[in-house]
Amino acid sequence: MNRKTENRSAGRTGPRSQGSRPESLGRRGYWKLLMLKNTLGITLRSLIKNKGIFLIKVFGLAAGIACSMVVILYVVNELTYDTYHPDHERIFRIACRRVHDGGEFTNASTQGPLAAAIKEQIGQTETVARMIPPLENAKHVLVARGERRFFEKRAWFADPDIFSILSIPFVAGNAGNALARPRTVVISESTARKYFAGLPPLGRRLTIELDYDTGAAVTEDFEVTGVVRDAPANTHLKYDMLLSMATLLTYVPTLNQDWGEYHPKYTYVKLRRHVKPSAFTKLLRPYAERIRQAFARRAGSPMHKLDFFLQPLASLHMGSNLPDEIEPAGNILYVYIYSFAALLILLIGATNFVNLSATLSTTRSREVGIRKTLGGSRGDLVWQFLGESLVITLIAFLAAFAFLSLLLRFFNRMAGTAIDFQALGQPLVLAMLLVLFLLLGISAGLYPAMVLSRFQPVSVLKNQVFPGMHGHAAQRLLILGQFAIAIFLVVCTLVVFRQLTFIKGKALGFDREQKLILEIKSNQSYFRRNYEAIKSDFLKAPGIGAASVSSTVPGEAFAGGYSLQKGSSFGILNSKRLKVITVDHDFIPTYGIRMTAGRAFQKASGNDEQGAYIVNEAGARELGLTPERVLGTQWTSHYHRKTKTIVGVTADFHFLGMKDEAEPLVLDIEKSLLRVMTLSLDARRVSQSLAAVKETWRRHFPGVPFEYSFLDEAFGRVYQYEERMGNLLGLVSGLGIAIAFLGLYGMIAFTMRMRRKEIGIRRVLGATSTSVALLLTRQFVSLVFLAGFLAVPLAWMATILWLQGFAYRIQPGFAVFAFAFLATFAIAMAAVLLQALRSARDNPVDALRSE
Amino acid sequence: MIRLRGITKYYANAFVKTFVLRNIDLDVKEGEFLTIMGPSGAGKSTLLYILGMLDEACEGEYFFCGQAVHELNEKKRTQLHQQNIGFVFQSYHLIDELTVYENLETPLLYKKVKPDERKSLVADALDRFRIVAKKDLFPNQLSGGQQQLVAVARAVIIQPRLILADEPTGNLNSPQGEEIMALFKKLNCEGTTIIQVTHSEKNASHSDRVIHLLDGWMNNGEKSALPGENPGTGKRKKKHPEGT
Repeated sequence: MNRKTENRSAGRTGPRSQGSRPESLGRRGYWKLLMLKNTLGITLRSLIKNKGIFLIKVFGLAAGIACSMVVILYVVNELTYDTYHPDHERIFRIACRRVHDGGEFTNASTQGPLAAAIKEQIGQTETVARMIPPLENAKHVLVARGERRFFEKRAWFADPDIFSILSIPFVAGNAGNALARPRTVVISESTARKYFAGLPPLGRRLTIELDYDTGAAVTEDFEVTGVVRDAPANTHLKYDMLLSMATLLTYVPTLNQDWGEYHPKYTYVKLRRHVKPSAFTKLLRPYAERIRQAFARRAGSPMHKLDFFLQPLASLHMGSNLPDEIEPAGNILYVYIYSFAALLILLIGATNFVNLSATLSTTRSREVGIRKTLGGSRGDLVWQFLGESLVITLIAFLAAFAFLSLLLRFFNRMAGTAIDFQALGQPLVLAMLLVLFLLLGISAGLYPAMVLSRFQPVSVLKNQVFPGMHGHAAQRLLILGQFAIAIFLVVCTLVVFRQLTFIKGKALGFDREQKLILEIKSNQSYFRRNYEAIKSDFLKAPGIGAASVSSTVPGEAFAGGYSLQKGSSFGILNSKRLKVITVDHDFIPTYGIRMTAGRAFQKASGNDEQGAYIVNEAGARELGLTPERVLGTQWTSHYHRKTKTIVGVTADFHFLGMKDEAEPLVLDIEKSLLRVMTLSLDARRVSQSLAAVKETWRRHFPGVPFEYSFLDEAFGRVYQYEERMGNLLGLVSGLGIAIAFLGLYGMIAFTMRMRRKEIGIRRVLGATSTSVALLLTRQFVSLVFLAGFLAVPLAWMATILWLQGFAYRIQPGFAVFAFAFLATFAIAMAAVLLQALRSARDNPVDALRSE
Repeated sequence: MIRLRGITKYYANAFVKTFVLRNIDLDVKEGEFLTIMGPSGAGKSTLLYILGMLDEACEGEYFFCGQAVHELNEKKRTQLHQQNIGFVFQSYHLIDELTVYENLETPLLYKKVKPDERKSLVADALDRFRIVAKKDLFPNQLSGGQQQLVAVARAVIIQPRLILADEPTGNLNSPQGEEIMALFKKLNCEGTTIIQVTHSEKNASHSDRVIHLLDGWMNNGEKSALPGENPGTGKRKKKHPEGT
């Protein structure tokens, strides 16, 4: 006995004393790491053993993760607009609110002299600078270098100080003197490539046509004095060309003195440290007064009120949606919708993961039992399975990265964004991804870890754990949730598409087939002076049935509105505001707009140009009269102060689609706003007509690129938001159903395998394969039914809410819900029945023998 | 080393208590080789699991090396078990997805043995049980006897004071079984306490003492022996093969 004891204690020195020592936290972490390294092998081996289920798990997760990544990029892009400028908290745009001409207007821009006044008289700022869009041809500056001729949409006259307010890094040239002289231009890198194709651009020349509204357009050579980085996706102020302000001054010498000039001038200030925006705004008040006076003197249209306010730079994208906004404002609604959609996919994917892990846990139960007898504590095992789940999540992340760029391209096209793959490198994005990774890995791993680590070695090793779905309430709940989400998504998708079909199918009140649209972007004054002659030239082309010129064509925002005052003088008190389309005599017949009262414009009447308005029915209502009684009434417009008589009322037509009621409109023959020509084509001779039209274009607009569009295509864009959402929902619900289907399929396949013996016994006892299949499917039927009951009311509420945004909408009926439910149900049943039949048909003897 | 007093185990549902163990008193000295025998369902394995701290008794006291196991929380109990007890099972219970080497290493990981020490312990065990050549194989690539050899090596590697064996030779043919029993004998001689559950008289003959369980009741070695089974009837049996 003695001998034995000695022996034993001698052999046991090391490890025993090791283990009994109390451990610090750091050491514990170290052991967990070691353990993880050890269990990595087992993770991978057991994954390989259950390849199918592993692939389903990873696919579901990866899809969810990839969607989330895209949405994270999108959300970060949307919410970090203009935060990359140093000290962006001190940078503001000066906007104003004014009351005049019978309306209240808010503008993102202000008058030219303000910047100089701030710099010289107010102080308080580090820098002030203006960005002024080229005047008449704001978005279509014709730029040429030899044969390379393009319309530039993002060209600006810029004060040189803009470089010390906004972060616009120079690649060549320098910010200090690049825009000092007239006729100099700084271009973006991609613009440089476009015109110079690899040649160093500095010192070379671009020919730029500008329309200063002081006569004919001017074409001059500009010297390239700088190349800057392309504007990132997350700035409201995107630029391809910055023209020196000195150039503009040579043509508009009063730019820095004239307080009454109304072309938009976006003014940015960078306040000194510790200057409060509210205090600064107060200092601007005297200048508001100057503008009011200048307007009173000049146009005779008194401005009743004018208040400046400061818009923080970083808030512009989400927080500012003014009529003269540089870029359409972001919509927080889409941030929510996209985030929600990604969350749903992530939920379905993670549910799969949890579900399949829990299902597979039965195969791991023996391992758990053994590990516990070997001294593993429950904590050790929880860590092991959490570690495994993190490893699988990591694999899913890598897989997600693999198809991220594809998905991103798809998303960009769908959502109309320009998000770059490289944006992943931002610290904020990386941090969010890390959080997502941990959250997903832990939350998806926690339930399986808890289930698995709870196994008692005694019962496991005695084979008392029964596999399969019995009693796993949590697992059923997960499947229920998964299918509820799937049904919800399908209902939403169906409703969105049905609503789209509905509004697209509704009569718009005008004819949009076979219309060729030519936009006059250059030489507008020539066009306005000679439009009758130009039109008749185009009419000579073969197959052109009708031609008309106007300020707006369907699918575009209206150019503006008229404040109309009854009678022959204009005052602001009782004026009514209507949107305006300025047209020619042929507009109404060209578009096939129906008249409900009075007559259309007629050349024969001789004086329609000077004396006639036409309104639509909504317009008549706005003026407070019925279509019959509005005829013959006289109105004066704030715009040109002409008094004209309403000679006709048209039926309502929907130039902006069927989302909203028809706008109150007035049609007026007024040259100064004309900018588009509409040509009616003969469908059989389109290419012939196009060739001739191009020839005519060349004659009238030599050197101007011939660009055209077809109305029905362009008009389709009015529903682009709804279509984007429909497509997105379609994608998400398709993906969701696919993941849910695969998950269910995998889980059932596995359950069947585990229940082979039971099924074998039932078969031996005389059950038919059908009855066995039924037995196996029954529980899933009730689950999917329950999911339907949960999802349908929620989907109903969500879709009703969404439909509120439409003036004309469908009533989502029983059929939509029934269809969504049945479709999902059929897919789920397919997953179950496929498996059930297969395993029911197996030869029972094989199953029993294999035990 | 082990002292059980009034250990009782039952499974209760609404109406019936099914007793597995009834009022077991048992003392095991350090260095003893004890055999528990009895027919199927007698409660042998349950007793073994309670001894191994994998299962808890419903009533009664369990002292292990002076510590009141029935009063410890799960964590303490796991620690005690981890440091002192090795298990050997009838169906080996190796982890299928791990190699022989990794299987041996696992208990050391739970015991938090340092890497270099762990490596040398595993190497020693591989050497001692002459399975070095098999170290990279998976369990299903081994014969039953080899698997059980690995299982014993795994039980021994933490240098436990107590080895619990649940029908260790039940799935083996007789030469393999003999080999394992010889191994146990050797370990016992080196000082390890061994408690085994077995149906086999031959295996029981290797032990110092045999107790019998029937329907959860325990008969002490002296009283228990069925005629002809245990002629020695003593606590210390002689070490020679017994015939029936």
